[in-house]
Amino acid sequence: MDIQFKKVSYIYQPNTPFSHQALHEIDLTIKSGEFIAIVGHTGSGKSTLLQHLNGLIYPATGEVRIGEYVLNDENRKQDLKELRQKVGLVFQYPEHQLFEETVEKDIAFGPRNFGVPDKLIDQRIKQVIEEVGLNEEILSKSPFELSGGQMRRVAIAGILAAMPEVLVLDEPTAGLDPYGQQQMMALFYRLHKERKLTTILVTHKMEDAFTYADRIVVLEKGNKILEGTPVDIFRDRRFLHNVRLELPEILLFLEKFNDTFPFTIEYKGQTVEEIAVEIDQKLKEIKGQ
Amino acid sequence: MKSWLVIGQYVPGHSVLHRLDPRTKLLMIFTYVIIVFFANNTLSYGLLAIFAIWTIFLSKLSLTYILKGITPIWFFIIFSFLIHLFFTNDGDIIWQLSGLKIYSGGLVKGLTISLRFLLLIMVTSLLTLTTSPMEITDALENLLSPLQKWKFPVHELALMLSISLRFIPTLMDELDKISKAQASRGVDLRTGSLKSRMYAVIPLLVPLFISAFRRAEDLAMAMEARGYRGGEGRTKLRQLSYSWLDFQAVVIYIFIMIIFFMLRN
Ligand SMILES: Nc1ncnc2c1ncn2[C@@H]1O[C@H](COP(=O)(O)OP(=O)(O)OP(=O)(O)O)[C@@H](O)[C@H]1O
Ligand SMILES: [Mg+2]
Repeated sequence: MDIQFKKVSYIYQPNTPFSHQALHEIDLTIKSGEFIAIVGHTGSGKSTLLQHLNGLIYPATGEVRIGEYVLNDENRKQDLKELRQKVGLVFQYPEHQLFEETVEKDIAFGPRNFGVPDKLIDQRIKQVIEEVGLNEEILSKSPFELSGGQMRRVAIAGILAAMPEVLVLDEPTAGLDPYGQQQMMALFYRLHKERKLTTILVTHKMEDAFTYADRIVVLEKGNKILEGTPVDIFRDRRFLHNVRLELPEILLFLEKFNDTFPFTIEYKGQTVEEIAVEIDQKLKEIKGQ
Repeated sequence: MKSWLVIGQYVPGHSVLHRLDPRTKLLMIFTYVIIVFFANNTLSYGLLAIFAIWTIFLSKLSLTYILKGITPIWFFIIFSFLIHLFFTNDGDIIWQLSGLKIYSGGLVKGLTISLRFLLLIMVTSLLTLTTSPMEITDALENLLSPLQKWKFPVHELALMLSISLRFIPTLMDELDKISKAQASRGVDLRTGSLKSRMYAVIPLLVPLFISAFRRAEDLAMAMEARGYRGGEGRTKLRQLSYSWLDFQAVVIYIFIMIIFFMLRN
């Protein structure tokens, strides 16, 4: 499903003394199957942007097109069930939305609301619980006796079980241990590839944005100030400095390395390992001369 | 949070009303609330209404913002108006349609009851709109402190009140977040039968309660960690003090009250 934001503005609590414009005329196009990362400081409007994708809020002006759905100020009253099934939204701290007596029931909650037959739900539960790296034994437990990380996984499994085509993730790894963060990101990337999902990731970690995203969007105070592939963003990195966003460590290293040594290594979106190999080759070349 | 709801909201500002000592405001509003029930003719109601509108003007808040902000109350106001209109039968019949008769007494009663209601709500919202929850509880604690002699737990009461006031917006935000999260899992609160909508509330309430309990626990822990041991011997960061402004306000207020009792019959 292609997604298009056209001059989307959003205002919290309009016509009150608390009125606050959280988005300013955002234009953004996301192609089916893309992996997009949205970065920006706290309060820059990332979560506000995401909520449009599920029709939870409507643009004050402008419009959002998601597949066949058009969301704008005029058509607020439409049935969004299908949209919400197709676009899976993982909120910040999704474990706070758990409520059922058992993990199994909680995972089944979404698909059941979307009218998936019971048989299929059982099958999906087994599949997703494994995908998020949990054991089937956990299914009969209460979600409230799990650890924070396990709860997070259960909540995410509950979204995945609805088999969305678009996966929207709002800082899905916040508050997990480093190993858990890595695992979780690897899981999302694998799902992105395997299920051919369109993935939209909000993150504070530039590392993740550069590693996984096809394109990165930088928000600042509700404005889109930068958009492009990781290579583009690296080229325009001075804009990042302006808004006090740090490049990932590996790129900081590359910057320093290129300043220090008489030869340069071009950034083409390589991983750490690939860059190490390249440096090794360059050094060998020089030794050979 | 529901953007239009003003009940219990505080709008920071520097108007005259904001600068009054919270005790002065509390006492004035308390007496106003009682006095509203003593109004018995057009003039006395008119004076109270003018007073309410004048104070709103002094608060620099917009009247439409407040009137719109009490939308849920409007429902009650109109409802009670209609009840009195249709079910009172004194006075002359002023309008008649088949079996339905409307008496002049009903009209008058309906109007006065709803006006009373409206005035009460406007003035009390004005208190919370211009006074921070902290100030309100400080003022209450201060005004009630004589009761301590009779072992009345004034401090505890004030603390409970301030914590509840403090957490209303937080819980509203929380509820907003949770209902969005569940809506994206396919919960539909707007359509379906009454029964199915009642069931749809469970996925909202359970997480809300859990988070409220978690917050309460965190708060208790944080308070203990910072050495909270009840009210005895505890000093205050902000001392309340009456000023020239309060004196002026009280004089004007008493003057208005005297006129009020002269206008009554
Ligand atoms: N319910 C609300 N009512 C009023 N203002 C809000 C509300 N939610 C968010 N805002 C404001 O809108 C702006 C954008 O908020 P948003 O939650 O989209 O930021 P964010 O980029 O997701 O931040 P974070 O990284 O902290 O999650 C902020 O300035 C915030 O204060
Ligand atoms: Mg956010």
